[in-house]
This record gives sequence, C-alpha cells and structure tokens, in this order.
Amino acid sequence: MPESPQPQDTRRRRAFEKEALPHMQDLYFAALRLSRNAKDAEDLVQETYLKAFRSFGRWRAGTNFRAWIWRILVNTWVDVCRKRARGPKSADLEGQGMEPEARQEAPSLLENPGALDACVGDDVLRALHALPAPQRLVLLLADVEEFRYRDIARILGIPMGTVMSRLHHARQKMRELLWDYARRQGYGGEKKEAR
Amino acid sequence: MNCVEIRRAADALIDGELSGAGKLRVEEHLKYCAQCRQWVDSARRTRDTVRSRVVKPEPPGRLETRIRRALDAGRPPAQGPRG
Ligand SMILES: [Zn+2]
Repeated sequence: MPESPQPQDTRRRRAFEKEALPHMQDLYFAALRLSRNAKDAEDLVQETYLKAFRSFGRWRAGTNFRAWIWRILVNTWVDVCRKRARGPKSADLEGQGMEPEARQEAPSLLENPGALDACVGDDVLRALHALPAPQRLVLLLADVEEFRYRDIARILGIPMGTVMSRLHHARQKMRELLWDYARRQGYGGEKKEAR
Repeated sequence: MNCVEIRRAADALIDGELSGAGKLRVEEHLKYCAQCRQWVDSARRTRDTVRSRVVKPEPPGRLETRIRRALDAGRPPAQGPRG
C-alpha cells in the first residue's frame, strides 16, 4: 500500500497510534526480557512500531490487534538475533526445539507448594532470564500476557501442540528455579537445613 | 490416560484450554490420583506466582518520543507528492 494521499495519512497515523500506543508498556517489558538491556529493548520496540505502522494497512479492524503487534515484535526480535549472530551461532535462538531430557518432578516442592510465596518479583525475573529464549517467550505470552494458546501459536508461528509442550517445559523449569530460590531463602522445610 | 499424559495436559487444564472429553478425562483422573492433583496444584501456583509477582516498569518517556519520531520519518515509502 505505497500510495496514500495526505489526509488519509493523518487518519491512518491517528488510528494506528490509538491502537498501538497503549501496548507500549507490555511490549517494552517483553523487549527487556528478550534483549537483556534497556537500549536494545528500546530499539526493538521502536522497530516494532515502525514495522507495524508500515503494514498497518494489512491489519483488519476488529481482529486482535494486540496479538498482531506482538507477532511483529517477535519477528523483529528474531531478525535482530539473526543479524547479530550473522550465522548459525545465535545463542538466543538456540533451543527452538524442545529440551529432550524429561524434567524430574521436584518432589519437595510438590509437598511444599506454599514455598513459592516466598518468591519476589526479582526472583521471577531472574528465573525468566535463566530460561532458554523460546521458553521465556512462551512463558511471557501465556503467564504474563495471558494470551490464549491459539494466539500464542499465531504470534510464534508454531503449531498449538508445540505451544503446549514448550509451555509445559517452561513452567517445569520455572517451578524448579523458583523452588530453588525459595529454598535458598530458607523456605520449604528442607530437612538438611537443620543444624 | 496415564499420569504422564495427565501432567502434560495440566497446563492446558489450568489455563482453561481444555474442553469436552479431554477435560473430563483429566478431571476423572484427578479425582483418584492425589499425586497428579499435587502436580496440577503446583503448576497453578507456579503460574500464579509469575503472574502476580511481575511488575512492568513504566517505559522511559523518551521511548514514546522516539517512536513518534520514527513514525514521522518512516511513513510508507509513498512516491506521492510530499512537501
Ligand atoms: Zn496421576
């Protein structure tokens, strides 16, 4: 849609800002989790908005704008990773598939589920960053942004089944990490702690 | 369904993504399997911990300025008459 007369430009711009700007805080939060530093996160969000604006004509009013712009964020981030890696060595993109090894069950946590109450926001962020990027992303989408699986599949461009298995592994890993943090803070009644 | 399958379905269950026969089968299993109930409970707590602890920072004010400027400069490559 290259040719748009001026008044339409303004209307389009206004319509875009109305739809898109309210998502800035969410997108910025995700960008921080993906980029790991504020400057890259800002670049990522800016690039996302620019791309979204350019293809705004392809978004159909009434459909899920939020999922639409999130998909652009993810694709933009993937592009950035690829460019930066300039080859197959993109650490961030590695592990797109699954982690083969079956996680063990963290039995102590199962018996002390309340221990997670000890975890604070920083613990959650730390755990998020300890996840491989694909798991971090699916967890952000499902647990922080509360997208439906259907939308997550669209945003990530993967089948529903992959969404589910990736989320399953991500939550298991998350649970282990949070449990570990909680335990180190002395919660959860570890028998060995008695001295 | 065995316990492994149930646990794999636990996420979909707590996210309200199961329905119909699949949901019934999981719920039936949970009625008599305490270990899977524990599993589901801990999956739910993990999710809720993430959900409740995350605080999204206000983006820096300059970000919106940057975005607006980028939009000003980056309108679609219109070949039309532009001042
Ligand atoms: Zn069971």
